[in-house]
Amino acid sequence: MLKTLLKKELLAILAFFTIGKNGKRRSAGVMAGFALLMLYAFGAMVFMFWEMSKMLCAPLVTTGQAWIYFSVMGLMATSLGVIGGIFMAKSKLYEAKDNDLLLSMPISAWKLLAVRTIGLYAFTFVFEGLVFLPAVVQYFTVVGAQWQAVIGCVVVTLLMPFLALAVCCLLGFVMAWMLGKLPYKNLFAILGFLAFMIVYFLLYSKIYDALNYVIINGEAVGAMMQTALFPFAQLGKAAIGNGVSLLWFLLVFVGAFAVVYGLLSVTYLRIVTAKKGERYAKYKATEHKVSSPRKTLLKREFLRLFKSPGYFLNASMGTFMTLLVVIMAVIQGDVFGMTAETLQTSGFIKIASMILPLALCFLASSNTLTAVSVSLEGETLWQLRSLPVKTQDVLNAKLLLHFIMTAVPVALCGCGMGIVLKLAWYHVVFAVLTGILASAFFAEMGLMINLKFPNLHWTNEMVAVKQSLSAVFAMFGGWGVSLLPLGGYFLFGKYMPAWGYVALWLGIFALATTVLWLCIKKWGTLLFESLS
Amino acid sequence: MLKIENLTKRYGEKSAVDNVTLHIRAGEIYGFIGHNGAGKTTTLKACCGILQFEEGEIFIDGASVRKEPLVCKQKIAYIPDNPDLYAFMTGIQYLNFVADVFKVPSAERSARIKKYADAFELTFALAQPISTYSHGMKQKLAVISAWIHAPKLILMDEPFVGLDPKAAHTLKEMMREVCDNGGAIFFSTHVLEVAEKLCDKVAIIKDGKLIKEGTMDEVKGDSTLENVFLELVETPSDVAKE
Repeated sequence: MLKTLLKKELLAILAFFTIGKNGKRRSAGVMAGFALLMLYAFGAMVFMFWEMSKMLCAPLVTTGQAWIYFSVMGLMATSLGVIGGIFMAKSKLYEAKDNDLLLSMPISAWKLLAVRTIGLYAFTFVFEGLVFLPAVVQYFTVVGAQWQAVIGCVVVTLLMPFLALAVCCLLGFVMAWMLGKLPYKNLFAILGFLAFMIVYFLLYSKIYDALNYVIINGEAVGAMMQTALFPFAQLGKAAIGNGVSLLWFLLVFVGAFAVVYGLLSVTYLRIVTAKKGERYAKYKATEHKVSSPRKTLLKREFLRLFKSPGYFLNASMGTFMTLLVVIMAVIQGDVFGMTAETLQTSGFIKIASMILPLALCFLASSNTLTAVSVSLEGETLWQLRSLPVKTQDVLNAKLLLHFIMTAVPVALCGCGMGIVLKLAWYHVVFAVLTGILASAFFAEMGLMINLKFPNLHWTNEMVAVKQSLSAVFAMFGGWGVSLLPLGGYFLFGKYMPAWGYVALWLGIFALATTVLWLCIKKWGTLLFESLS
Repeated sequence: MLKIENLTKRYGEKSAVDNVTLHIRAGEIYGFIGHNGAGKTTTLKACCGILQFEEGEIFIDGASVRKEPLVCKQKIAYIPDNPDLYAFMTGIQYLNFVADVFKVPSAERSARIKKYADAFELTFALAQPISTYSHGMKQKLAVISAWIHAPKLILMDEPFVGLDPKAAHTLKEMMREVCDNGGAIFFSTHVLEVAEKLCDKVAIIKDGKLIKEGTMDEVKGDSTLENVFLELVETPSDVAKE
């Protein structure tokens, strides 16, 4: 039975690489591209942790604090394992799509749990390995091979994921339970993701400072580890071959998992067959607020955006990036201020006043809302087509959604950055106007592309959002267009005054936006009406 | 109310609808009968302006679907065979969306939502996302949304599929009410018994061609249609389903 279930798990993993979301087998070229992408992603992470290990290893080893090195790297590996594994635990253990199928068969719950946990272990091991394996290689590069350390490192590397696994099993359960109860789960999912991204960027920006602190204050960090982070202190010592610490490590890391697994194996069937505590919204009849058809079409677009975290997070990337820049400007305003002063004193003020409109164009081009909005109508397209609304009004609602989501943060960012960079007011006005016009232009460009390359026949809306030709064209096309002013500067812009060059691009964007608007009015509506 | 004149719709070489002419008057429930792929859905889609056609003309209350689509759409409601509604809306959000588009005043929409949602026993679920609805609940919501602006003409494609017997009975009463108030209903079905009991007139379409129209008695009295009827006769379980 276990063998059959394991085979199914392996087939599912294999299918992830070989079968596309449309259910069809990926072509050899797509699979090769996918493999290259994975290789790049893993390679980049391995390189990053290799560099961190390099920074930390030799200084700590030479001062006899090698165990602190492994403790720190073990802590990082376990953290990454938890971050990577928690969502997987939630979906794989508690919300697996084949639960009904498998539980209706004569399969013991513990066997099901065991097989799924093995899959989860493999997943966590890969994540932790990205951190810990480069650290181990780095260590032996510095100290050479010592048999106690080799045994210690092998045991630690193999068994370290069990602690992350135990945490993931527990947190995954809590997350699944909470998301089942929350009233606005999509909103929480979006806010959670944004909070995670902000914390991630903040931590990432501080990580090298933290590593420097460890190198300089090794003894203090070691003392803190012994008390506050005892399991990781034992992990560090076990990795360099300390037998007693190895036993402590096994007791804590494997023991924690054994306790959680024991608890789960007796309650698993009850957990997965329990009626989910879905919140049931009770309808209360109230007076209905009447909106105009145009306003209600816009409301519909916003509702779709906010009710679909996948659409929101993927197609509003520019909005998030822009807001992140604003937040960074507030937090690290002094750094930006110093940069501005350096630019001013070094005579590069002309470039400084042009960087802002360029950056705003780039940020505006990163939103792909209109580029997928036609595709997202999918099988519900009949509704818009059968209602007494003008096609132009339908398209306008899509354009307006994109424009509001892009131009508002872009204008905010332009004003904020103008203040931080201490630019003259007219430079800020030009920059903000350029950003606003670029937002309108990219909204129209995305819509035209999607009208030309729609995908209305999807089964999962993420196919339309993430795997659509129009989103790719709009994103890369937008970046290409936003880089044009930069290229133009080196060709002829440097011979013009900064305000004149920005004003020129303002004019170009205004003209292009008007031309595209007329195209949508003339051909875009026809394209939309011919969709089926 | 609805005039279909020499309608022809082709997909490449194949004619899905071939030179169909039909007149539906106010106060009539008109059944459109045919087996799967006969051309019923294509005709209905063309009538509500969501499918372009090559030849012919369609008039709704005197307005051309081709030339004045918005005027026509303002007077009709359409329910497709498989109502894919906006899964990201709740039931009440969807009804308000449709009511806003048709500019239904607040008091009227409240009264209609109460009347029809209560009739279909769907009021309790209106605050729930449509994504959580069953097929039957979606069908009921689609019907309520069609009735919310009191259209003159209702076009429905296999409206009874997925409805439980009680809801099907409610829908039949609603259809009769529309026609008693001077409206008209044009709906497709492949179940002869439904058409027989409900319709004032029927039309039979086969392979895109209209082969007979008139009252049920007139149509059934035509002995040349025996084979067509045999094809359409349902098993008892199919009839019970509807």
